[in-house]
Amino acid sequence: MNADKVMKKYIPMTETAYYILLSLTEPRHGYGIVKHVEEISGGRLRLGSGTVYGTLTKMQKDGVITVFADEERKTLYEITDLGKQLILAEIGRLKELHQNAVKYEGDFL
Amino acid sequence: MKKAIKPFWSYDVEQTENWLKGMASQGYILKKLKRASRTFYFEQATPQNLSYRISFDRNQGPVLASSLTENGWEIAAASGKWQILKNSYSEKDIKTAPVRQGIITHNRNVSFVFFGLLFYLLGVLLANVSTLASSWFQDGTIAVEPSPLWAITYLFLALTFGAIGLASYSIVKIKKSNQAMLQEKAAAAAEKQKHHQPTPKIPQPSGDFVKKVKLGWMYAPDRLESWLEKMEQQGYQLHHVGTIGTVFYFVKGEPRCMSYHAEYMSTVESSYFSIYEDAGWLKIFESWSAMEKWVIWSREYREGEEKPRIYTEGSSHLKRARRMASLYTILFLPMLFIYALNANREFQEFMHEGTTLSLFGVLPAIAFVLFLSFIYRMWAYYIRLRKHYSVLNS
Repeated sequence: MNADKVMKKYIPMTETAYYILLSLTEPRHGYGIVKHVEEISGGRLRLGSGTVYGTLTKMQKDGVITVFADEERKTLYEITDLGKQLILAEIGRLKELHQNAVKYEGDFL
Repeated sequence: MKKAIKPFWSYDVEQTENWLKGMASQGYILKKLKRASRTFYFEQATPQNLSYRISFDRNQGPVLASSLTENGWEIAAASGKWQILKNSYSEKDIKTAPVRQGIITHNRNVSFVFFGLLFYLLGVLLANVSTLASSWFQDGTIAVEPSPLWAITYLFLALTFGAIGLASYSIVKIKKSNQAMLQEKAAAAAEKQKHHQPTPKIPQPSGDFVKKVKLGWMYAPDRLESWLEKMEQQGYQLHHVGTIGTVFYFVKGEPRCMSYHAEYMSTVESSYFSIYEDAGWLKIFESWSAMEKWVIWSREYREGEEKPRIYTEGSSHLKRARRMASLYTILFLPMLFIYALNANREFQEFMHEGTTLSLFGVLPAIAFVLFLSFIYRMWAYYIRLRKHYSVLNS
């Protein structure tokens, strides 16, 4: 899938997809992703195994992530260059949301 | 440049990898693979100690995960979705590998095609043999007409036997190597497990099993889940499920809070099981068939705790349910059509010719209604699920 198509398909990202991709700062196992997301969201997000597996499979198909095996032959997930492009674009969008949130927050108080 | 032809190189990739390693140690380094002619091209160089890994990736082009590149892997040859990777690191320094799953799935699909071919050819052969046999039994002789075209007949017969041999060989070979690849993973996991505590074994019950038969639960998996959960609340603990998934064996004990989940998988990957199992789900049933795989998962939770769920987002759950319902619908439609035709014929005969309606005559009609109800129940399940998530989100 080319970059434009991927951007169109994923942005704006669901919270699940965003946190899964954000957790791939280093290659992780499937359950490693679940634990990491729970940690960085302060225990708020506990992703279900089926949801994570389904999202990872979809992302792999679209070339956003790739896989390899470790010594135990367990699958590790790694972000691709296309995936990095995607998460940076989404982070840019979220920054805009955040800036405007800070800027206009006071008007509603 | 040295050439070598390996017609069945992709069936047992481990063997091929070892062969490539052996060639490299003799100074023949793989340069190119031509899949159509199954030819490997080698360049002569100084002997090297190289490790090879073959991978099949239906998703991406020949781009390696950077963890693989950093660990010394590079592409030696690529053709279509196949890649042959090489690594000059010593074996103890190679910590990564491409995944085997792509090859396992691809080869399994190849063997399904050969299964189809085998059934077809054996069917044709059997039909011919039975014609011959019946004429032998009737007259006691088989008249052979002289014809210049007999050569073609024999050629076809030889081709048929050749194809049967090829199909059988492929099926057996693929089955063996796939099993070996799956065990390779299990062995690696077991090696690691030595340092961890072993997984708890389900204790054998002291009393007798309470047996319950549940047919056709695949068409409404959510109903099965709530039935199992209700049984657990009454103290009927699910111990195991029969091989074909119709008999449920319970043990009478303490009531438990359990979360059950039954789901259909079209392709089963080992990473699927490890994500679920690592998260604490226990696989209580896995259907035997490789083509339609049903898995039942269970997980205990404490009272007052939130019930653990496999899907925390509607879209992935709904997508899976929709795929299951569509697949079974496509599978059942031709049967519906055939049963409808037969039922109609029986009915016409009954109306016009006044023949008595036998049990045999009503069978197609019963089968038609049954298959229609399966399709209805699956889509009803999908709609229930959609409602469930729309209530949850609003």
